Amino acid sequence: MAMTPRHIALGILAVSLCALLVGIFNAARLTERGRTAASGSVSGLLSQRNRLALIELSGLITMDEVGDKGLFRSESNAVLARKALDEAAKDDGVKGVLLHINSPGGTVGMSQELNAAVKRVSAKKPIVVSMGDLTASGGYYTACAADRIFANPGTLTASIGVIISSMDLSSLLNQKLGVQAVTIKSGKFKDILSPYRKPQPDELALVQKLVNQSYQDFLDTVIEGRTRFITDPKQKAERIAKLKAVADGRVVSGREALASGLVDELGDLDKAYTALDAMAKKRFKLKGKDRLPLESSERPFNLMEVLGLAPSASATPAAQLSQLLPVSMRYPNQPLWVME
Amino acid sequence: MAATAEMNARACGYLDLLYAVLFHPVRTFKELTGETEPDNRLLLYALFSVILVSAIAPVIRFINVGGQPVNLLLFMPLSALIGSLVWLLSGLVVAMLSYAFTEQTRFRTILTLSGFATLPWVFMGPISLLKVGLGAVGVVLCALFGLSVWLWSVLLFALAIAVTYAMTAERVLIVLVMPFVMTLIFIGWIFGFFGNISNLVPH
Repeated sequence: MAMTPRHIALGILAVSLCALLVGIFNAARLTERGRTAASGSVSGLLSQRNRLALIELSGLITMDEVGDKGLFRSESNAVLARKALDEAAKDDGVKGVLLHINSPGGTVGMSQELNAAVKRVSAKKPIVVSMGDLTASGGYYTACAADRIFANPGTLTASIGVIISSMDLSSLLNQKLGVQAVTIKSGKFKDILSPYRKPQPDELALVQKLVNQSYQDFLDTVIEGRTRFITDPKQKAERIAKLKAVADGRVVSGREALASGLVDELGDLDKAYTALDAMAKKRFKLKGKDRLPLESSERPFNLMEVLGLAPSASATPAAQLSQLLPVSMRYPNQPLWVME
Repeated sequence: MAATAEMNARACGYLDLLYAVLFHPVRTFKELTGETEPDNRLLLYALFSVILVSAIAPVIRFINVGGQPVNLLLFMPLSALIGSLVWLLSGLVVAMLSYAFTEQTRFRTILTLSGFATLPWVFMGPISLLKVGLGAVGVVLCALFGLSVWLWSVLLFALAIAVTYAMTAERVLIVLVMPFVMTLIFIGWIFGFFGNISNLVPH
């Protein structure tokens, strides 16, 4: 039978339909299998889908939104990092997470949320932390839940401790300005650490108790995170002693951190990437000489950022002035896991 | 192959038209553009082409990026709907712009021809499979063939405008480029608007 245009057109449609069905079947199969084992001619496609995620955590760890008086708000880096960690934990194509931290710490609640997010990732896939210039206090609290920690020799880290700051402005207000504060409260401690009066001994004792509890939580989490892979009781006890010795709020260098057991190895981001690649391949039984591709987590689309109109944290004079204050004075009267 | 030479494209069935548009576009488009505008049957064929290639788009994405197959049941009709609206809108814009040059809209004709101009996208199914079979080489080939399909479709669209309104190449280029220029102007307005509003809001 002679080939007519109708037959050719039918052939084009049939080939296209078949190709789409094969493609759908293949993609669905990969999704179902978690896009893991690779073999045969589809290895190229599969190796692209198996990947490692690079997540950045920088700046102050806080839940505060950036530019909260602008037209559009944007979430803090810490919140974005927590979301990225949870997405990486769920994504079967992500075989490991490289968390790059450059932070002085921040608020207790957000640090704890990040620590929990790191643990959720660790339960499903390897997670390695690479410390940048600074991974202190709440930043270290986040890091200590990871499977492995890398620091540069000059990284500043530790600062394991809690701080609450307040100001006593009573002398300035009463004696210099002649201003008397009037406070009506429902309980004795309702205006604890009020700047309008001197703190009382029982109030200071209460706050100190709060700080001590928070510090104990911090220390327990660090000890748990840094000893969980040690099975020998003697070695475990030695590690705990070393950790407690530096858990007095001091800041240490990466080299000192290695000696104290705060980090596992000295090395840069690339070395951490290589280590994560090996851990991921071992855990998921993946083969291949090349390292798995490392993909940065995407920031959510923000129209105002694209248009260059997103308000930044230091856009206003008041915000710029607040940058000059110690961090604990920017978040007065609350316990912080932060390096001043 | 001689179908379009022997019979007028207006009388062809869908499969004959598909072949004729892909391999003899100039002759086919000229035959479709007559004194009277195309009938409803041809317009429906064009709409079917648009729906076909628009519905393929989420499948191609699924093949390349993955996801839940069940989502295709939602995305395919949605994509077909959006594709049809874009087809209508682009036809309307071209008709309005062409009116400035020719004082004729010929809306049904440009809709019919521009609908058929999307047909090269049916090749994206086999092209996307290259990635599966050939690894990294396939990715490069996939990109090159994908680009070719896009170029093919754009050329057919330009041809559709040229044939429908009997326009010179320069005028067709103006009609094709004008929506992008207008979009840039619109974005400029948006920038200005939000910029000024942003400055008014106290920080």
